[in-house]
Amino acid sequence: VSLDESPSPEEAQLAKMSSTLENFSSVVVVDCIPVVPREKQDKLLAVLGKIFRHPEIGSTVPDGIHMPVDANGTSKGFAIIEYVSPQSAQKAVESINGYRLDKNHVFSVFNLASAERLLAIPRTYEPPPSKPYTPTENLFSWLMDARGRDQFASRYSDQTEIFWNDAKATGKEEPVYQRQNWTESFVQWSPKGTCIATVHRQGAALWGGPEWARLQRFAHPNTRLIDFSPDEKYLVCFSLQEPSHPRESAQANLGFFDLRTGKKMRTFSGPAEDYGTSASSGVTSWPVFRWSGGEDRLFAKMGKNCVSVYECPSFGMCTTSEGDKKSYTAEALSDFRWSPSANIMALFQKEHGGGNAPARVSLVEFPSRKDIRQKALFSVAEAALNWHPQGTYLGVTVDRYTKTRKSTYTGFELFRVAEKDCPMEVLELQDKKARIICFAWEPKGHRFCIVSAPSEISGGRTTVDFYSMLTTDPKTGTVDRKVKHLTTLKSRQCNAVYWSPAGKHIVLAGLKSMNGQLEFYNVEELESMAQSEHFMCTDVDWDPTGRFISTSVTSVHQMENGYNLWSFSGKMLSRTPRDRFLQYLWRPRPPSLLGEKKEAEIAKNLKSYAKRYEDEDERLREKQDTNLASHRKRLMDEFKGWEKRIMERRAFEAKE
Amino acid sequence: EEHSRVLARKVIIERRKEDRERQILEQEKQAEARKLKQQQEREEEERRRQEMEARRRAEERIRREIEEQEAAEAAELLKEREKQLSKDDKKAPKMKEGEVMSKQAIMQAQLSEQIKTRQELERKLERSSKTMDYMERARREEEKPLLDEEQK
Amino acid sequence: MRPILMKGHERPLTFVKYNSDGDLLFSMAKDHNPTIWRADDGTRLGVYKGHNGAVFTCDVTHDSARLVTGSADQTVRLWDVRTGEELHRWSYREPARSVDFGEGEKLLAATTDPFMGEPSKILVYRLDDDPAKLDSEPVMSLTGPEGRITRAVWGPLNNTIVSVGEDGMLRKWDAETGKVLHETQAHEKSIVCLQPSYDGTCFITGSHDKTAKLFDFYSLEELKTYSHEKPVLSAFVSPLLDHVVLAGGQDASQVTLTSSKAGGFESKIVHKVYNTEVIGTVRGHFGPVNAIAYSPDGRSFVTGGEDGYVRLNHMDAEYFAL
Repeated sequence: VSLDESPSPEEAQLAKMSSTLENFSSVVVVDCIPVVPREKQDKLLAVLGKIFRHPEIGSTVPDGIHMPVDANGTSKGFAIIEYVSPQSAQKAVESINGYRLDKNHVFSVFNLASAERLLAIPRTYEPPPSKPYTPTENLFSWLMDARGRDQFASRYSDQTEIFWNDAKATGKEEPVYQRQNWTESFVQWSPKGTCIATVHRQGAALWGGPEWARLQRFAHPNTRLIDFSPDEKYLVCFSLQEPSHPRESAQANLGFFDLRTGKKMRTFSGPAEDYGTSASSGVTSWPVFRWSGGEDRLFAKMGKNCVSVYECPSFGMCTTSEGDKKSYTAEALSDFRWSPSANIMALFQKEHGGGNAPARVSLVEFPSRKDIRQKALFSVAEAALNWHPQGTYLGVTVDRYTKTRKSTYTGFELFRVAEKDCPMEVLELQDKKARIICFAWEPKGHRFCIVSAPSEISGGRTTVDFYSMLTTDPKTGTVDRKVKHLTTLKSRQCNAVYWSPAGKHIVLAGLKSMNGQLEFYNVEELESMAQSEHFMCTDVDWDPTGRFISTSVTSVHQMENGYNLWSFSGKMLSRTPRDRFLQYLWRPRPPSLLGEKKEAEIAKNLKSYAKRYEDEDERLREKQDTNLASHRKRLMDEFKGWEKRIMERRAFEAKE
Repeated sequence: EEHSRVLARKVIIERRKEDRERQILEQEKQAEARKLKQQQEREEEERRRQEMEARRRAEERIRREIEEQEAAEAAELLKEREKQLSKDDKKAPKMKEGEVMSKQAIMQAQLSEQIKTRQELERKLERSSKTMDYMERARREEEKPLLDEEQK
Repeated sequence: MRPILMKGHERPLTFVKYNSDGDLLFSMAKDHNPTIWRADDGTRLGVYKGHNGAVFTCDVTHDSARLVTGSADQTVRLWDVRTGEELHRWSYREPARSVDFGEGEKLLAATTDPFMGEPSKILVYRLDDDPAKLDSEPVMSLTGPEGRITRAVWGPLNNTIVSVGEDGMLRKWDAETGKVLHETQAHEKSIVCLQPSYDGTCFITGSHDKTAKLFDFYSLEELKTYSHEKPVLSAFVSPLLDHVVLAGGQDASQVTLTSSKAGGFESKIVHKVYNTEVIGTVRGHFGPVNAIAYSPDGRSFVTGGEDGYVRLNHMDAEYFAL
């Protein structure tokens, strides 16, 4: 409602109405209703009557709906409604506020009692503090949901949909945006969730903001894969050009774009096999250029016996200390991984020089190329580099040959990267012959989990072990920086683990051959919270806060397609079957702007917040209950109406 | 004439004698058959008795086995339970010395304990779920002004 | 709720039906042997011997004296329920799919499948209490659409015949003239079943499109849609409560695993009016549920499965307290 300086007719009307009332508590104002010419006003009044005089709410006084008009007789986009009882007015505010009449009109309903103060001093009244300025595309609006919900994108058949996850409060999801054929192959959120990318024949596009407007386009014909830099500064598109001659090899093209301006910063192209793609098995290594964890400054690609490191924003190769633009050479290089939080690279070199040079794991800082730590490893067949999500630790799974070199066994080299001089430790499982299935670090924590298939006959069951990199004495508070075994879970149907992004909780999943067994485990208490199953489950994903888990069956499996939502503790909240289900993607969130101090303060004062949230939830529940009751009543009335008509017809026919 | 009469008489006597012999033979045969039948019946009777005896014994054995198994299982369950109870800070009352619990009773007790544990766990999880949710909401609430600042 | 498992059929079940008193139960299967059971405890009372092919449907007269069955052996047969004697036989050159007595049981509608170039047909016969007077010639023969008519039933007052078919269409035929009065694409995929409610005001259809729908029997107006995660092969309207029951499951040939969970072989009770609210599910079959029927008192329901079992479910007190 905009109140101008001169006393307007509606003010006069309000004044008139108010004079007849003891107070305004049974009057509500509804704003954001359609602006209509005189001829359509009766119709709109009828619609409003239906909504506001709903039996669940109550009745208004005679002619209780007043819709002010301007000099031309056009309505002003709001109405004043006077109920018989203040309770009805209260109900109207609770249940109609936020009512979506159509795409452009979401009712805003408030009690006049709350606006009483404004009317009492109309002459000297100052306009309410204007809402903070929001540009047309507020890319942060989704972070401000009043109920602290998160979004997810789901794709099935040719539909892409974005929802608020509201499974806990309402048992379902609230649609945010939906579009058919939005993408030609897949969608991908940017790493901090600011926008979503769609992929098309002509290239990629980014969408975001409250209206899901197109924010940027990147022309890169036949884009097959995309990759965001972790800080959302750049976008990489990958395409493959089939050879014109069968004897020639396919050509890979990569385009690096500035995400905000859409400007193409650099292209790389060459034979497909130099870019992680083979003719027989397709793309084998993506992203082929890997971004460092240090604010989008460096990215690197592995070559033969070397890594080429590039820097931004020049997109040129990093210089050595001598000022040369050269790749970093490493004989028999097998793999490299950037730390997720710093410009530190872990490299693994295989045994080389005819066995004279042992295999080696090294940690190197860029662009200085300074060695942080090196470790030679003997009789190594293969190794895998696992960075802790915050870059605190590096875990290397090492497969070593036995003396006869006929078989291998697995051990772990654990580097404490965040500590001084990067100390390291070696870990071996008790069951030396166990086959390792996976190794996973606890995010925001110090624990890790190893899943292995025991060497003795186990009927396909696996063993899950938990360890911690450090232990704190609960009494003295002293920290012991030694790897400690926490517990062993035997005979589990588990071949994949999913840590909560907040740590502490983990889902032990038995995918594929294990049919979708799920165990929800609390690693802090070493306690199983629930065991369940999502039959044929192919994907397990945590929401960004660690409160919810989605499990889905995508179309890689023919049947049972769709997704289930669970609480962190394994309580199933909802189940959504969808034929040809393709993707379930939680919208990531940027790192919190709150400092550690503020977080601790919130945790300390949680009680004061909790009371309010509890009340909010209670109101929501009540509203839902009334909504459900009125929905049921409407359906039942309709059906009874039909039954009555049928009975009348029968009676009539019987007479005939 | 006399001769022929004597002759005839002789023939009759002969015939009677033969008849008699046949009769005796027949009777003997019948007696034999009866004896045989009785014998068979006796044997049959004996066989039936033995069968019944064997069945009775088998049943008894099975019953004994079941009882033994139940007792063993009960003991096993009891042991498990004691172990569990000692782990659970001895919340549930301990068995009295010398008291014998049937398997059913132990299972019943165990079941109700399991239900209780489960309910307790659920309450605990519900509490921690709320805490997590409120914490997240509070963080976002506090983050809001900072985001608004950032947006400017 | 402990179901009564009724074993007697050697092959998949196709149809189940209660008599009007609800004390007898008839089950049809692909094993050629229509079977009669006692409805309270599932005792098998007898088998109607004679068919040489799978039996697809049946109907029973109000007084429970006569049973009519339609079979792949290209016959429709009329039986004496009590003696099991075959009273009459109508023969075709095509498999007979569906049979239905008209109101008053003076008329019989039967359907035949498309076969060897012959289209599907709906045939109407006049019945007589005296089997000797039964006429083998139809009083009317309606040529159906392409594709199979899966079921045809008499409309209110025998004025119309309502049919559903593999083309997903729902058709209303004038029973006097044989003209199609109304047709509508009721389902996106093949309609597998049609079951009138006991009171005859509405009927429910089930389809491969994974929905069941409730229709006004007079106007064919669609009243409700119930979605299921699997193809709906059978559905029934409760005569007692505002419930409908749906069942079905993925075709056994498409289920890669033997787990009964995989195929979704459960019966789901849904609120008839609040169509998205599930009241409960009943599991137990190892294959798709091809047939389902509520008892006339609505206190029990029976299911027939691809697994050859008939399962009789007497509802718990809790069910009625819902």
